[in-house]
Amino acid sequence: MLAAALFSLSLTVLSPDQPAALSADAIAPIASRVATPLYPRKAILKGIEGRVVTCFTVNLKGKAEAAVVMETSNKLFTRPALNALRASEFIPGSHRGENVATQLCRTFTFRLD
Amino acid sequence: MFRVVAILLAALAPLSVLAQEEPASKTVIGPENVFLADGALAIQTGDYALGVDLTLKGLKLNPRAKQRVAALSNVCAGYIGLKLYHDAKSYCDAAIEINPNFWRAYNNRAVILLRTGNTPGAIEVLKRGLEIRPGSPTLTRALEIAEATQRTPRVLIEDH
Repeated sequence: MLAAALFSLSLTVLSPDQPAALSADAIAPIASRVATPLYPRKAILKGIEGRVVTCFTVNLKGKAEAAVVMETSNKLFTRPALNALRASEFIPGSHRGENVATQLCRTFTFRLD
Repeated sequence: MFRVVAILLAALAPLSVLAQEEPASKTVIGPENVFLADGALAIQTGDYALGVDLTLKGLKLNPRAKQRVAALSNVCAGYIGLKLYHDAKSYCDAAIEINPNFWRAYNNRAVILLRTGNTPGAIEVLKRGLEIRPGSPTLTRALEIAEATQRTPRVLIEDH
Protein backbone atom coordinates (compact mmCIF):
# COMPACT_ATOMS: atom_id res chain seq x y z
CA MET A 1 0.00 0.00 0.00
CA LEU A 2 1.40 3.36 -0.91
CA ALA A 3 0.69 6.31 1.23
CA ALA A 4 1.85 9.67 0.06
CA ALA A 5 2.73 12.19 2.69
CA LEU A 6 2.38 15.81 1.66
CA PHE A 7 4.03 18.52 3.65
CA SER A 8 3.35 22.04 4.42
CA LEU A 9 5.44 23.95 1.89
CA SER A 10 6.37 26.95 3.93
CA LEU A 11 9.71 26.19 5.55
CA THR A 12 13.25 26.10 4.29
CA VAL A 13 15.66 23.25 3.82
CA LEU A 14 18.69 23.73 6.04
CA SER A 15 21.20 21.37 4.50
CA PRO A 16 21.14 17.97 2.82
CA ASP A 17 22.10 16.29 6.09
CA GLN A 18 19.81 18.11 8.43
CA PRO A 19 16.16 17.31 8.71
CA ALA A 20 13.93 20.12 7.72
CA ALA A 21 10.49 20.86 6.53
CA LEU A 22 10.21 21.73 2.90
CA SER A 23 10.18 24.98 1.00
CA ALA A 24 8.21 25.77 -2.10
CA ASP A 25 10.62 24.14 -4.53
CA ALA A 26 10.95 21.00 -2.46
CA ILE A 27 9.37 17.61 -2.84
CA ALA A 28 8.09 15.88 0.23
CA PRO A 29 9.10 12.32 1.05
CA ILE A 30 6.70 9.66 -0.08
CA ALA A 31 6.09 6.44 1.78
CA SER A 32 7.05 3.67 -0.61
CA ARG A 33 6.52 0.81 1.81
CA VAL A 34 4.15 1.15 4.72
CA ALA A 35 4.61 -1.63 7.25
CA THR A 36 1.53 -2.24 9.36
CA PRO A 37 2.06 -2.88 13.06
CA LEU A 38 0.87 -6.11 14.57
CA TYR A 39 -2.09 -5.50 16.82
CA PRO A 40 -0.89 -6.70 20.25
CA ARG A 41 -2.68 -9.89 21.22
CA LYS A 42 -3.03 -8.69 24.77
CA ALA A 43 -4.78 -5.58 23.54
CA ILE A 44 -7.16 -7.63 21.41
CA LEU A 45 -8.01 -9.86 24.34
CA LYS A 46 -8.62 -6.87 26.55
CA GLY A 47 -10.51 -4.97 23.86
CA ILE A 48 -8.07 -2.08 24.01
CA GLU A 49 -7.93 0.48 21.21
CA GLY A 50 -5.55 3.39 20.98
CA ARG A 51 -3.10 5.43 19.00
CA VAL A 52 0.55 6.26 18.75
CA VAL A 53 1.91 9.47 17.26
CA THR A 54 5.55 9.40 16.34
CA CYS A 55 7.74 11.94 14.59
CA PHE A 56 10.96 10.99 12.87
CA THR A 57 13.48 11.88 10.24
CA VAL A 58 13.36 10.38 6.77
CA ASN A 59 17.03 10.09 5.95
CA LEU A 60 18.67 10.23 2.57
CA LYS A 61 18.30 6.47 2.20
CA GLY A 62 14.58 6.71 2.71
CA LYS A 63 14.58 5.13 6.15
CA ALA A 64 12.97 6.46 9.30
CA GLU A 65 15.45 7.38 11.98
CA ALA A 66 15.52 9.25 15.27
CA ALA A 67 11.89 8.43 15.92
CA VAL A 68 10.32 10.10 18.90
CA VAL A 69 7.03 8.99 20.38
CA MET A 70 4.99 12.14 20.78
CA GLU A 71 1.94 10.45 22.16
CA THR A 72 0.83 6.96 23.04
CA SER A 73 -2.49 6.00 24.54
CA ASN A 74 -1.17 2.69 25.84
CA LYS A 75 2.35 1.32 26.09
CA LEU A 76 1.17 -1.91 24.47
CA PHE A 77 1.05 -0.10 21.14
CA THR A 78 4.37 1.71 21.26
CA ARG A 79 6.72 -1.08 20.29
CA PRO A 80 4.60 -2.45 17.43
CA ALA A 81 4.29 1.07 16.04
CA LEU A 82 8.04 1.72 16.22
CA ASN A 83 8.81 -1.70 14.73
CA ALA A 84 6.47 -0.97 11.84
CA LEU A 85 8.03 2.42 11.34
CA ARG A 86 11.49 0.86 11.28
CA ALA A 87 10.32 -1.55 8.58
CA SER A 88 8.81 1.22 6.47
CA GLU A 89 10.54 2.85 3.54
CA PHE A 90 10.28 6.22 1.90
CA ILE A 91 11.33 7.98 -1.23
CA PRO A 92 13.37 10.74 0.41
CA GLY A 93 12.27 14.30 0.15
CA SER A 94 14.22 16.46 -2.24
CA HIS A 95 15.07 20.08 -2.72
CA ARG A 96 16.13 21.48 -6.07
CA GLY A 97 16.76 18.00 -7.29
CA GLU A 98 18.83 16.85 -4.33
CA ASN A 99 17.67 14.43 -1.71
CA VAL A 100 17.32 15.93 1.73
CA ALA A 101 16.56 14.57 5.16
CA THR A 102 13.13 15.66 6.24
CA GLN A 103 10.90 15.39 9.26
CA LEU A 104 7.67 13.54 9.19
CA CYS A 105 5.12 12.40 11.71
CA ARG A 106 3.01 9.29 11.53
CA THR A 107 -0.08 8.42 13.50
CA PHE A 108 -0.98 4.79 14.06
CA THR A 109 -4.58 4.28 15.11
CA PHE A 110 -5.32 0.83 16.55
CA ARG A 111 -8.98 -0.07 16.23
CA LEU A 112 -11.12 -3.09 16.89
CA ASP A 113 -14.10 -3.13 14.53
CA MET B 1 -0.83 -32.75 50.41
CA PHE B 2 -3.32 -35.37 49.48
CA ARG B 3 -6.07 -34.14 51.71
CA VAL B 4 -7.92 -31.50 49.84
CA VAL B 5 -7.27 -30.48 46.31
CA ALA B 6 -9.63 -28.28 44.48
CA ILE B 7 -10.74 -29.12 41.04
CA LEU B 8 -9.00 -26.76 38.77
CA LEU B 9 -10.37 -24.54 36.23
CA ALA B 10 -10.20 -25.04 32.58
CA ALA B 11 -6.80 -25.10 31.00
CA LEU B 12 -7.00 -21.48 30.15
CA ALA B 13 -3.49 -21.07 31.40
CA PRO B 14 -2.14 -18.92 28.56
CA LEU B 15 -4.98 -16.56 29.19
CA SER B 16 -3.96 -16.32 32.80
CA VAL B 17 -6.61 -13.83 33.68
CA LEU B 18 -9.17 -16.55 33.17
CA ALA B 19 -7.69 -18.66 35.88
CA GLN B 20 -9.18 -16.58 38.63
CA GLU B 21 -10.13 -18.45 41.70
CA GLU B 22 -13.71 -18.85 42.66
CA PRO B 23 -13.23 -20.45 46.06
CA ALA B 24 -16.87 -20.73 46.93
CA SER B 25 -17.54 -22.83 43.89
CA LYS B 26 -14.76 -25.35 44.07
CA THR B 27 -15.58 -28.98 43.98
CA VAL B 28 -13.37 -30.68 46.50
CA ILE B 29 -11.82 -34.02 45.95
CA GLY B 30 -10.88 -35.51 49.26
CA PRO B 31 -8.50 -38.23 50.29
CA GLU B 32 -10.95 -40.97 49.46
CA ASN B 33 -9.61 -40.96 45.91
CA VAL B 34 -5.98 -40.07 45.99
CA PHE B 35 -5.61 -40.50 42.24
CA LEU B 36 -8.20 -37.83 41.58
CA ALA B 37 -6.74 -35.52 44.19
CA ASP B 38 -3.21 -35.90 42.87
CA GLY B 39 -4.39 -35.74 39.29
CA ALA B 40 -6.12 -32.43 39.96
CA LEU B 41 -3.02 -31.08 41.63
CA ALA B 42 -0.80 -32.19 38.76
CA ILE B 43 -3.03 -30.51 36.20
CA GLN B 44 -3.22 -27.41 38.32
CA THR B 45 0.54 -27.19 38.40
CA GLY B 46 0.86 -27.73 34.67
CA ASP B 47 1.87 -31.37 34.57
CA TYR B 48 -0.98 -32.22 32.27
CA ALA B 49 0.17 -35.67 31.16
CA LEU B 50 0.62 -36.88 34.72
CA GLY B 51 -2.63 -35.23 35.76
CA VAL B 52 -4.62 -36.90 33.01
CA ASP B 53 -3.02 -40.24 33.76
CA LEU B 54 -3.75 -40.06 37.49
CA THR B 55 -7.27 -38.79 37.00
CA LEU B 56 -8.08 -41.56 34.54
CA LYS B 57 -6.80 -44.06 37.11
CA GLY B 58 -8.98 -42.41 39.72
CA LEU B 59 -12.00 -42.66 37.45
CA LYS B 60 -11.50 -46.41 37.23
CA LEU B 61 -12.18 -46.59 40.96
CA ASN B 62 -15.79 -45.55 40.34
CA PRO B 63 -15.93 -42.33 42.29
CA ARG B 64 -19.22 -40.83 43.41
CA ALA B 65 -21.18 -39.00 40.73
CA LYS B 66 -20.16 -35.53 41.86
CA GLN B 67 -16.48 -36.44 41.88
CA ARG B 68 -16.84 -38.28 38.61
CA VAL B 69 -18.18 -35.19 36.87
CA ALA B 70 -15.41 -33.03 38.31
CA ALA B 71 -12.80 -35.60 37.34
CA LEU B 72 -14.11 -35.86 33.78
CA SER B 73 -13.95 -32.09 33.51
CA ASN B 74 -10.41 -32.22 34.85
CA VAL B 75 -9.37 -34.77 32.26
CA CYS B 76 -10.86 -32.40 29.71
CA ALA B 77 -8.76 -29.57 31.17
CA GLY B 78 -5.67 -31.77 31.14
CA TYR B 79 -6.13 -32.68 27.49
CA ILE B 80 -6.63 -29.02 26.69
CA GLY B 81 -3.27 -28.40 28.34
CA LEU B 82 -1.82 -31.10 26.11
CA LYS B 83 -3.52 -29.50 23.09
CA LEU B 84 -5.42 -32.71 22.43
CA TYR B 85 -8.70 -30.97 21.82
CA HIS B 86 -10.59 -33.89 20.34
CA ASP B 87 -9.86 -36.01 23.41
CA ALA B 88 -10.64 -33.09 25.67
CA LYS B 89 -14.02 -32.55 24.07
CA SER B 90 -15.19 -36.08 24.69
CA TYR B 91 -14.45 -35.76 28.43
CA CYS B 92 -16.10 -32.36 28.72
CA ASP B 93 -19.13 -33.70 26.89
CA ALA B 94 -19.22 -36.69 29.21
CA ALA B 95 -19.13 -34.40 32.26
CA ILE B 96 -21.93 -32.25 30.88
CA GLU B 97 -23.96 -35.31 30.01
CA ILE B 98 -23.85 -36.49 33.62
CA ASN B 99 -24.35 -33.05 35.09
CA PRO B 100 -25.65 -30.43 32.66
CA ASN B 101 -25.21 -27.82 35.39
CA PHE B 102 -21.49 -28.31 35.94
CA TRP B 103 -20.35 -24.91 34.80
CA ARG B 104 -16.64 -25.68 34.79
CA ALA B 105 -17.14 -28.19 32.02
CA TYR B 106 -18.83 -25.46 29.99
CA ASN B 107 -15.86 -23.23 30.62
CA ASN B 108 -13.51 -25.97 29.43
CA ARG B 109 -15.73 -26.71 26.47
CA ALA B 110 -15.59 -23.04 25.51
CA VAL B 111 -11.79 -23.10 25.70
CA ILE B 112 -11.71 -25.99 23.24
CA LEU B 113 -13.94 -24.09 20.87
CA LEU B 114 -11.83 -20.95 21.19
CA ARG B 115 -8.62 -22.87 20.60
CA THR B 116 -10.06 -24.58 17.56
CA GLY B 117 -11.24 -21.31 16.07
CA ASN B 118 -14.93 -21.58 16.80
CA THR B 119 -15.39 -18.31 18.66
CA PRO B 120 -19.15 -18.03 18.09
CA GLY B 121 -19.55 -21.55 19.47
CA ALA B 122 -17.45 -20.63 22.50
CA ILE B 123 -19.58 -17.57 23.15
CA GLU B 124 -22.71 -19.65 23.00
CA VAL B 125 -21.30 -22.19 25.46
CA LEU B 126 -20.09 -19.47 27.83
CA LYS B 127 -23.51 -17.84 27.81
CA ARG B 128 -25.01 -21.20 28.66
CA GLY B 129 -22.49 -21.49 31.50
CA LEU B 130 -23.47 -18.05 32.76
CA GLU B 131 -27.10 -19.08 32.79
CA ILE B 132 -26.06 -21.90 35.11
CA ARG B 133 -23.75 -19.79 37.19
CA PRO B 134 -24.72 -16.15 36.79
CA GLY B 135 -22.03 -13.65 37.61
CA SER B 136 -19.18 -16.16 37.58
CA PRO B 137 -16.01 -14.04 37.19
CA THR B 138 -14.30 -16.84 35.29
CA LEU B 139 -17.08 -17.28 32.77
CA THR B 140 -17.66 -13.54 32.50
CA ARG B 141 -14.01 -12.86 31.76
CA ALA B 142 -13.86 -15.75 29.32
CA LEU B 143 -16.89 -14.35 27.55
CA GLU B 144 -15.27 -10.92 27.35
CA ILE B 145 -12.18 -12.48 25.83
CA ALA B 146 -14.16 -14.55 23.37
CA GLU B 147 -16.14 -11.52 22.29
CA ALA B 148 -12.97 -9.46 21.97
CA THR B 149 -11.39 -12.02 19.67
CA GLN B 150 -14.39 -11.71 17.39
CA ARG B 151 -13.56 -8.11 16.66
CA THR B 152 -11.33 -7.36 13.72
CA PRO B 153 -8.12 -5.55 14.59
CA ARG B 154 -7.21 -2.73 12.26
CA VAL B 155 -4.38 -0.26 12.23
CA LEU B 156 -4.89 2.99 10.37
CA ILE B 157 -1.76 4.86 9.37
CA GLU B 158 -1.62 8.52 8.57
CA ASP B 159 1.42 10.61 7.75
CA HIS B 160 1.42 14.31 8.50
